[in-house]
Amino acid sequence: MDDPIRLLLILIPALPLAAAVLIGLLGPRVLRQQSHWLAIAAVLASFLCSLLLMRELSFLQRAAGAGGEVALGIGYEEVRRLWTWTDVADAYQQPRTPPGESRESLVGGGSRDFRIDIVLRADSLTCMMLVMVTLIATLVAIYSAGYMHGDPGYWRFFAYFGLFVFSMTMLVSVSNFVLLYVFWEAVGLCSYLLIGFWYQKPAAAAAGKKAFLVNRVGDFGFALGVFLIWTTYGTLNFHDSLRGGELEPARIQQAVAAERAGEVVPAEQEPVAGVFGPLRLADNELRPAGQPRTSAMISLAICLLLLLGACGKSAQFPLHVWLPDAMEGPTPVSALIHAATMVTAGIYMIARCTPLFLVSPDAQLVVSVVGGFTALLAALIALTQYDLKRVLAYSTVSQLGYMFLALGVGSLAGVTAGMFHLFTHAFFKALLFLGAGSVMHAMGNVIDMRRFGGLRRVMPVTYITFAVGCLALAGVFPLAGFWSKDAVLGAVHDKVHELEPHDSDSHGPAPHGPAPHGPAPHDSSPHGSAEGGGTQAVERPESSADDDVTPVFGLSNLLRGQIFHWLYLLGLMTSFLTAFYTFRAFYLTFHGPELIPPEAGRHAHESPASMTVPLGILAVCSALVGLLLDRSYLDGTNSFANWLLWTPSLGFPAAMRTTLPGEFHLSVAGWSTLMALGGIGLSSYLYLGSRHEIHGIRQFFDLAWVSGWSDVESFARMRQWRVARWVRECSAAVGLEWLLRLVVGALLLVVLVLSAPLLLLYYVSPYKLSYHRFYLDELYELVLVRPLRGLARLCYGIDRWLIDGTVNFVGRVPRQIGDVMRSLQMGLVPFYALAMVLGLLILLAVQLLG
Amino acid sequence: MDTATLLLVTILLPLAGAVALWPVAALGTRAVRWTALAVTLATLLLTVLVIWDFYPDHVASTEREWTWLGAGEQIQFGIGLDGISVWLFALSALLMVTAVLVSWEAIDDQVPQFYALLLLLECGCLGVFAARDLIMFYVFFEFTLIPLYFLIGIWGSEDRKYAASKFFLFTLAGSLLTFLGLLSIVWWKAAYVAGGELTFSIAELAAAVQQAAGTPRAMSPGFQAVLFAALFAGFAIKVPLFPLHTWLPLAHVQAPTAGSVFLAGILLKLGSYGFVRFCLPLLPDATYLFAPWILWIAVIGILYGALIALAQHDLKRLIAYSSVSHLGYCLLGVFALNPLGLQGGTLQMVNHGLSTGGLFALVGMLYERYHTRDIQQLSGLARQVPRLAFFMLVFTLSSIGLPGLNGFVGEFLVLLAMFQRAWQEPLPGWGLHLKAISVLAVFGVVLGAWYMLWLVQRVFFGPLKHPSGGHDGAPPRDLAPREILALAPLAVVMVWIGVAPNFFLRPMDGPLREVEAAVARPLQEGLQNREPVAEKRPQTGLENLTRAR
Amino acid sequence: MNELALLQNYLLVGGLLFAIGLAGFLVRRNMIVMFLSAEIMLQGISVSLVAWGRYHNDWGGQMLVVFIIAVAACEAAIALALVLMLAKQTGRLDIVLWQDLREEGQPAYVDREVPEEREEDQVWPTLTPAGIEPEVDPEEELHRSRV
Repeated sequence: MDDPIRLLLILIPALPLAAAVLIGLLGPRVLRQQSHWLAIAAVLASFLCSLLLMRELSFLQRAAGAGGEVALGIGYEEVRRLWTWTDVADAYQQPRTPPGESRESLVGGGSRDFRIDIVLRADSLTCMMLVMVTLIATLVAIYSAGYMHGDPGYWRFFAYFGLFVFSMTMLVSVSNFVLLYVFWEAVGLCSYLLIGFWYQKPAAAAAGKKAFLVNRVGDFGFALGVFLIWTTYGTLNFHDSLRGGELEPARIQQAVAAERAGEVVPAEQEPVAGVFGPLRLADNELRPAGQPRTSAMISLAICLLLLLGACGKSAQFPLHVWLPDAMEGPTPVSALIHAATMVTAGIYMIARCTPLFLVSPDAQLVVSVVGGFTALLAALIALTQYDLKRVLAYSTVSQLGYMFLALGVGSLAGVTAGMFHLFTHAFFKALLFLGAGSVMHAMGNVIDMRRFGGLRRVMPVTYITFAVGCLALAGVFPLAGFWSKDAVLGAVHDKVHELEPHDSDSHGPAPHGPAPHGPAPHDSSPHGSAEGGGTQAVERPESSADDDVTPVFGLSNLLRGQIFHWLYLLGLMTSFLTAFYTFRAFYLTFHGPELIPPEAGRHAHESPASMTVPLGILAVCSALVGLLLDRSYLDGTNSFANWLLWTPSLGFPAAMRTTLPGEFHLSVAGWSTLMALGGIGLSSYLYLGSRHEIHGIRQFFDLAWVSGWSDVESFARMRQWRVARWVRECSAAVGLEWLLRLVVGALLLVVLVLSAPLLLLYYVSPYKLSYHRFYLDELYELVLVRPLRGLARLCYGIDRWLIDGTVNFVGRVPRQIGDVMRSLQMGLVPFYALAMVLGLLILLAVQLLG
Repeated sequence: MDTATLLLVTILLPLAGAVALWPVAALGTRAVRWTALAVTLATLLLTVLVIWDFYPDHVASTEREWTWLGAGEQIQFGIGLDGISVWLFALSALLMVTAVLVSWEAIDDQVPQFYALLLLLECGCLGVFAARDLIMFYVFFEFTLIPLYFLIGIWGSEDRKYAASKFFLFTLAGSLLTFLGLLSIVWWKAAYVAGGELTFSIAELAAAVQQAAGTPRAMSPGFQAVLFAALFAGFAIKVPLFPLHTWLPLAHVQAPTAGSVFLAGILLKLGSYGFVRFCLPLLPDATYLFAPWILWIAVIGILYGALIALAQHDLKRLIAYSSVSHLGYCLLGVFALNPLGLQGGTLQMVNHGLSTGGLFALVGMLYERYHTRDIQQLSGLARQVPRLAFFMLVFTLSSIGLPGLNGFVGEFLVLLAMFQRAWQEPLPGWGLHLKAISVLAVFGVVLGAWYMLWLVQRVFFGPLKHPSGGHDGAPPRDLAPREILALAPLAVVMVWIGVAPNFFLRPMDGPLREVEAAVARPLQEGLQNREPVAEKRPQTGLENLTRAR
Repeated sequence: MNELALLQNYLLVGGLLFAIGLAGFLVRRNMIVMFLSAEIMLQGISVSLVAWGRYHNDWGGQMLVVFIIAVAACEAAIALALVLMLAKQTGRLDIVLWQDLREEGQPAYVDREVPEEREEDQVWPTLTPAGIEPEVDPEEELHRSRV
């Protein structure tokens, strides 16, 4: 092949798909328990291809950076077209814009084609996701071979698995909102199939449905967002192209030059600026086609709708309820789909759409708030769960919240931090899940932490690797989680400082303020050389980029700064909680007296090598990946961020004006480490020590002491008190028994009224709230599901009785008329004669009078 | 053989087959079944050949006309295909094979008559989609009723007579009005347009309307509105649109499987096809006038059908109500009045035929095995009949518009078109309405996923349960090769449409663009009239950024 | 007397005949009488047709009347036969006895009060004796009864 990028881009998704199809066809008869070989081989090959692609791309990027021919400062992308999916020419005809303006609109005059090509792209973001997805998928596939061994649906599992890897790799490599949506739903389908893998289990089937439905609600927003993008920007492509579908950058440049020069180009040759294409980004021309139709309102709406979609897929606050239930699926699936890859699709999407979000600071704020809130909420819930996988699931939700928090910061530092956290999180969360799976495997599918314990001697490898994962999740130096969490918190911290009023020097130079503009501190970075070459006039405007943007919510910078400050504190708090519940789970599982449930039988053993080897690899990755990639503490270089900044949607000039990554925040690191260690310490103290303390704490938070108040028997006991008896006897003697009863009754009433809120609190005590997941599922059931079902039944009643009744009534009218007319047909000749004569008379009368 | 002759043979072959079943009946039911299958397969083959001929220059249509009846050369026997009808034509041929195969064992009573009626029905449907002449269209349109009336009335389940007569009367009542409306257009053309000879050719009528548009000879808006109402009566009942849908669940529940398959797959499309073929090009002003109302009705139907489907326990009734919901999308697309919507709506007709036709076939197969259609009595069937469950899942996913399958393409185009249309209107007034409609329509997708997935979950997943006294203790067998043969082609086409929809959309482009051109004039005029005067739009932040730079 | 007055007189007669017939048809229940009334109406029409024909100097009127007479004769034959048949079945000539063509489920009309038949009303027409009864040979009579 003369075009390696095209080949690789096709191979990466095609191999897993081919494996899936083959397993699906051959699985039930031929492959059976050997199905995993095909899947592992395909995914591994896919991983190698991804690495090759990364290498190819980095060469190309370096060449482009050196040569300076391609528009620099807006990144580097390679796009390859496979076939045309739909092509509706002139789908959207707007009144033509004035001639002066249409020259700049770059979307072919006033009419736009709904042309969706199957285009695959290779840029930094895609490559990073591809490598991550295929690597984790490979390890999980190997692991599954051990874990799923002997399952009757073995081949089915690997067929779904291949399908998922195909969908996920496509999801990150397509270059179009429609196709993004397509594979967005496709991964949702795979998730649905895999959650419901053991479909005989009602809980699994229900969880699968729930996941699909909640995601559908998110997709509802996503779809609306996509539609809005189409009506606003007139294209759904990420990349630039010509109307005929040509993608060659040189040809596009040529066509743009011709357009600018005012030449009349044939329709095929008209350039179409993609939403995140260099054409639009280079000019900061993130404005709609044709008429300037977008307003701050629409930008905000687009972002919020996309956010809703992301919330669905990435399990953020209002829509997070499906993820814990999704744990009904096989554990490798939880590790791959519901921790490492699919749930990060929302993060990926928002990162991809950075240019859109950059226009709307309000939307960014919402992203951050949603993320921060979810992080805390999920962490609080995770504190009290007894299901090991559920703890991890809530932890995933919480960590995804972290990523949203970072993305919402809106600066490049934030976005890259979010993506970095995504990257590291994939390793250690997959590790934790696989470890939990290993425990589950050994414990005969028991996952309730109250029923096993002290496993560190039974399963030493799992124990060690799990410990590494826990440390990484808690963010302990120098494991991966530390670096990415620090980057996230640092980005939020910077944002706080950026939003603070700068006029007073009393603050001193903000320690981690916005990075100075001009060349970034490392020469190898794309924007660095671009700015050096002077091809892009990236100047720092008077105020920060946000000030130019029309706010919709009308929040002042000060207020937003305060919100971000609270979010920062929230992040620190969450990191404390994270460390606590992680180690709570860890201690409950591996420490304390050895306890093995009867379900495990004599199988309580360390898992086979096919499971422990992936665990080991993941543990090594979790330990080292941060240290290797983030060297900001040394020379301010974050290789990961530098690589990511080559992405067109991140590297464009407007984004470059925000805070750049690369600063190491010692104070932030200090605080977060302190929090993590505090959490671990508290957890160690409580769970390694005596059980009484933790019981006491639980009872305290469960407001057990309130229950004393509500105890009716205590009143009965009070009646037996000597004083009470004495008063009673006295009053009886005086004959004022009725008065006493009145007074006591009134007193009781007062006490009850006063303690009512307290009693109420007892039923929603902090502990119960956390244990019952803040009753959100019940709330949804009560507020959404039941009313809708009721409405459905009501509609059915209306349909049967009202609408069909009306129809039947209309049908009955002629029959009724006929019934009336029948009675005239009485068979009497004189009557007929009379009727004839009367009719004749009427006719005559009409004739004469009329 | 040229294409037109081929087309004619394709249409008449089922008719010949129906006649041929008469002598074949003497040879026994096996022979009858095989003959019917052979005829439908041959028809399908011929259809493929017709499309093969048609496809390369898909803009042109194959036509053949000769005088049929009437003095002079007025009523022509004109047949031909264009991009609007070609896929529906093909779908009819395809679904009939499925219908014949699913009735293989289900029907053991008066078999020759049953297959003869099925073949007649096929002939009628093929004829409707190929008709180029108004009278011919109407004749075939009504002709489809008769075989189905007997199919439901004779081979249906317990309440069949009521269902059959309701179905028949309901649809007939509407289509009579439609006929009057169509004739009035012919009369208008003869009376008012230059060179006004009587013509029944659809193309000529459309051309005349186009030609007269904007001149004093054009139909007055009031007249158009009356005619539109007349046409609407017939087509809306056929579709069926929201308040006129009550015959549909009844007919579906009572019909034999093959009848349901064909009813859902093809007959409902006659209504939406009629809208595209007649209302839009012949009555553009009235269409524009009524479009928002119809959009409202359609979106109410989408939500209403979905909600009712949610409350069903009868498999067939559930799917029937889902049809009400899904056909709302077709109309939404058609009455969005832009190329995207027309293409999406027309494609959605095909999609719905595939998925719902397939679902009805599956329900029929389930019924053969478990003798119940009650969802509450079934559970966990995926264990006993995994292949059936697989197909059910595929068709369900297609029905709820999962990307990669056909349903998504149609739904996406329709919703996108609706959105685009909503964004064209200025905000106060219809702009707001249309925006609300498009958002509600998207919400319908969520509901759609809910009831369909719930259905699958309840019937196929969970612990195994099946009604006692089902199959004398022996577990029902999984799909036989014959049944797989009936379903697999549908699934293949679904994937095909989902992966490469352009193959199907491209031929539609030309004729639908003509349709769109007809309504474009009133649309543009209407938009210009409604555009608020000199409204200054707020500018985006980045625009300011650009300007600052 | 001019032509117009002549026409008027004829028409008057025709109209009167028609009215009498109509009244008879409506009022009476005896099938034969009703039939006769219908015939009278027919004749009223015939008279007016002839009158108009003469007035317009058009033989068409007369021609029609000839036709009517011919048709009426045929009709009379059939009608009387029918009447005879019906009368034979019930022994009565009352038209109301024949209501079999009424709608199903419709109650039959029954005379609530039948007028009493008085002896003195039952006056049967008698033929005036004409001539002497011929002598007949009993043998011949026996023989003739077959004829």
